Parts: sequence; C-alpha cells; structure tokens
Amino acid sequence: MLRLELTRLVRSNRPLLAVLSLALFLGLMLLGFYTYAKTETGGDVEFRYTFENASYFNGLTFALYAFYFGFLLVLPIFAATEGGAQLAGDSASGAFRLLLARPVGRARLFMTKVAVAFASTIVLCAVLLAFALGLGLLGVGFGDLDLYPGVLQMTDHHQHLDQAVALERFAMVLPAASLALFAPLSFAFLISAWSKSPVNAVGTSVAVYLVLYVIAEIHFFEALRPWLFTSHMAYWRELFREEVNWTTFFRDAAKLSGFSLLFLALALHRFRTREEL
Amino acid sequence: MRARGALLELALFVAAALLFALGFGLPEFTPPAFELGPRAPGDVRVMTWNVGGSGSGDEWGGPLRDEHVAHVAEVLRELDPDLCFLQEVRMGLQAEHLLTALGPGWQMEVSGSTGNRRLVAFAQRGSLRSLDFDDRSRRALTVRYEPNGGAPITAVGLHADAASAQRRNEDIGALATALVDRAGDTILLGDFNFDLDLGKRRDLFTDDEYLDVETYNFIATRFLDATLGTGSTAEPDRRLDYIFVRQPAFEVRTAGPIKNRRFGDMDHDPVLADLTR
Repeated sequence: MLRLELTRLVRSNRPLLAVLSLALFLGLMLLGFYTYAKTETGGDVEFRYTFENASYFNGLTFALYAFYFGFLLVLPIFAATEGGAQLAGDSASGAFRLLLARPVGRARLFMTKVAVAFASTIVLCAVLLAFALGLGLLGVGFGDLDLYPGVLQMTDHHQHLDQAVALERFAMVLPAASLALFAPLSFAFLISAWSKSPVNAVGTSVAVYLVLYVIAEIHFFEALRPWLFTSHMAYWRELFREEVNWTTFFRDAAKLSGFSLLFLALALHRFRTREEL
Repeated sequence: MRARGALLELALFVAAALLFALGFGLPEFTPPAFELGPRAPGDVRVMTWNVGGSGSGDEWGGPLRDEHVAHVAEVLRELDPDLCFLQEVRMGLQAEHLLTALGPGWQMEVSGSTGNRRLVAFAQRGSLRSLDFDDRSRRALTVRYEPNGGAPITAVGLHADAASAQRRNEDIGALATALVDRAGDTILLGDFNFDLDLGKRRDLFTDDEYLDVETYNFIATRFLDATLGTGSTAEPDRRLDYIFVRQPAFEVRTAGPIKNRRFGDMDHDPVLADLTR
C-alpha cells in the first residue's frame, strides 16, 4: 500500500510543482536580497544611523532569511495542500471505494497516507534548505553568521556564529522544521477528513493556517498565542542563538507534537466513522 | 480491524495529552531577577532615572513633582551612585532643591530645557563638569566625571524623543558616533524611549518598533548594553532606560533596574550599573 500511495503521489505532480515553486521563491528572494543590500548599504536609507553594512550580508544570512520566510509562508501551504488533497481527493475521485474494497483497515490506510504526506513534506523542507544554502554559499558568498534584532525576530541582541557552527545549526534545523510542518499537515488531514471536496479541503486548510498565523503574530492577540499551533512553528529559530535554550526548544517541540497528534487523532476518528458512498 | 483502529486513535489522543502536559509543564525561561549587591572597591556606580510622572494631564506625562523631591533624594542616597542622570526634572529651582536635599558631597550639572523640564547630572566622590558637546536639541547632557584617584569618564545622559523614531535615530546616532570618536572611557545612558521586546513586535498600536531596531543595533555594535536581559524599566512592562558602556574600558560587574523605588505616579525604575575598569 505504501508503494501504491508513493506512486500516486509522484504521478500527481504535486511534489514537482512544489519544488518548482520553491525554486521560483528562492530566485525572487535572491533578487530582493540584493536589492535590499544595495539600498540599505548604499546611502539610500531613510535612517541616517543604521547598523546595516555590506559585510553583514552573506550566503548564510541569505539562506536563513530565505528558509525562514519559505518555511513560514510557502512550506505550510504545500503541507496543507498535501494533507487536504490526500483524504478528500480520494473521496471525491472514488479511489477510497476501490481501496476499501480490499481487506485493508481504514486506520492502516489513514496512517499510510499520513506517512507518505509527511515524507513528502520532509523532502520539500530539505529541498528548500539545501537550495537556500547552496544558492547562498555559492551565489552570495561564505562567511560567519551575524544576527541582529530585526525582521527575523530571532534575538534581542547581536549573535555571532562561526561558519562551521552555523552550518551545524542549519543541519539541526531540518528535523526540527519538519516536525513543525507536521502540525499544519495534520490540521489539513483533519479538514480533509470532514470534506468530500479536495478544493474545499485545501482552501480551508490554507485559509485557516494563514488566519492563525496572522493572529499569532500580532501582539494584540498575545493571550491567544499559547493555544495556537502557529505560534510555535518557528521554534527552530532558537537553534541560531549562540547559547541554545534547550528547555524552550523542547517545550515548543512538545507543544507542536501535541497539536499534531491531536489533529491526527480527531482526523482518524472522523475517517474511521464516516460513510464512503 | 476496527478495534485496532480504535486502539490507534486512543494511543494518538493519549500521546497528544502527554506531549501537551510536557510542553505546557516545562518551565518558561525567565532571566534571574537583578539584585543589587555590595559594590566592590574601585567600581564606578552609574545610574539613570526618569523621575517624571505619568498622570499629570500632559500628553507625555509630567515632570517631577515638587512633593517627590525628598523621595528622589532619599533613593539617591540609598543607592549611592557615583554619577547619576535624572530626566524630567522641572525647570526652575527643583534641581537646586534636589541638591540641597542630597546634602554635602554632591555636585550637579544641568542641561538646557525641553519644555518645562531638563536633564540633571549628580555626582559624588569626584569632580563633575559639563562639556560643550553635541547636546542634541537640549535632549542630552554631557559631563566629564573624574572619580577621586581614577581616570576621567565622559558620560552622555539622554532623554530621547518619545514621539518620533526618526528623531530618536538622529539624536542617538549622532551622540553615539561622537562618543565613539572621543578618546577615553565613555558611557551613554538615559531614557531612550524605545523597547525592543521580541514578544511585542508587530504591536497593532505602534509601527515604530522595526525602526527603533535600527537605532538600537547602531549603538549595540559600538557599545555594550549593560542591562541587557534584566527586564523592564518602565510601565507598562517596557524596557526604555539603558546604560551603554564602551568596551574594553569597562566591564559590567552588575547592572539592572531597581524595583520598588517609584513614588506617586512615577512610571520608570532607576537603572543602575556597577562598572569595573
């Protein structure tokens, strides 16, 4: 069954389209990065006194910026698309009636689909990270990673990581970020389990993710933050501190995993008990 | 087969519950509270305190009330700084009344006025005189403090513009640049009127946060932020008061806001640093 689901995933062309979209995203990021670096360090700035300087921008900075924005705004949409399409898509196309005619348990079928979708998400995450690092190091240049308080909201003071340490941290980001993406994927499975139309499932999953993301970002809704999975998604940023606070890191990882498993349990319950006509 | 599915579903719910318990149960990271210890021989204790009030009907709060002068003098005697800058001292004779209340051994220099308030520097155990420096729009006061038996210190006390991030950038950036160019031991301290708390980014009620980040980074790449990570200094839960010291001239032995010293409608804590040379 695993081979069947993998074959169907590859033939759907969704992974290929996602990779092409990531390549386009990184190309635009590179363009924006150079434009920003030029305007912010060339005297064309609104503020006279700014910390920006040409040496601050290097391949690792680009890779981190690109991965950060791609992780928060692009990968969750692919995860939601994959999760939304898996159950509702097969339901709409009648594939479930065919699959469930075999002596296969619904739980096994469900978990196989989850495993395939999660594997696909991990691959996309790895592709984005590898492309961002490759493009950054080869196209922009090597160097240490310096982070200042700013747009990434990573730190409240200057952090410096030597290049070798920074690359180790990038390697640690892959499993951490993949775990985080499991939450929107599981959420999309939950929506998909309640929907008969893949378009509705994907649309709803993406829309709800974006709403929760925006709510979690705005200080006005601070009291809601702990209860939204989107608040914890970028927990892997902790890895780019000079001294990683592992308690904070594992606390957020545990919360995200809790959200993911809760969504999956609810989705499985719905999938096991719903009628497939 | 249905029982296996139900069992899996139950396992997912239980695992989610355990992970939530772990995630929400692990302690939040909170930096250790600052406690003022005994000062070491040879240390220089510097302090900044916005002694203005929040509720006098003025749009930006009011200056120090005359009935609070005795309390301020009492706190100064208790905390015993070598050099102290007070912001929001009322024009007229209030600074002189403060000097009288402090008693013998103290010296004073005052800035020009902004509205009906001004900056005042008090010092003891050494000599104090004001310098003709870049005192931006009378929002700053520059002094040379020469402790008994020690090398002189150039210190700039500042009360940055509360209304405009652009003006804050210009004033603070110019002062920091001028101080960097000046030889010797230098300190920049005061009420900078910006707060870089990561959790408050994208506050609906301010769009200055990302602009002030530029200003903070400009200083932080040139000076050491002595009270970093020691918590808020003003209501409501904001860190507005800073002590920046030039390295390697100074090492920070201890620094932070001193709680429970406000009086009446005061909305800032005194902020203090013990510096070793």
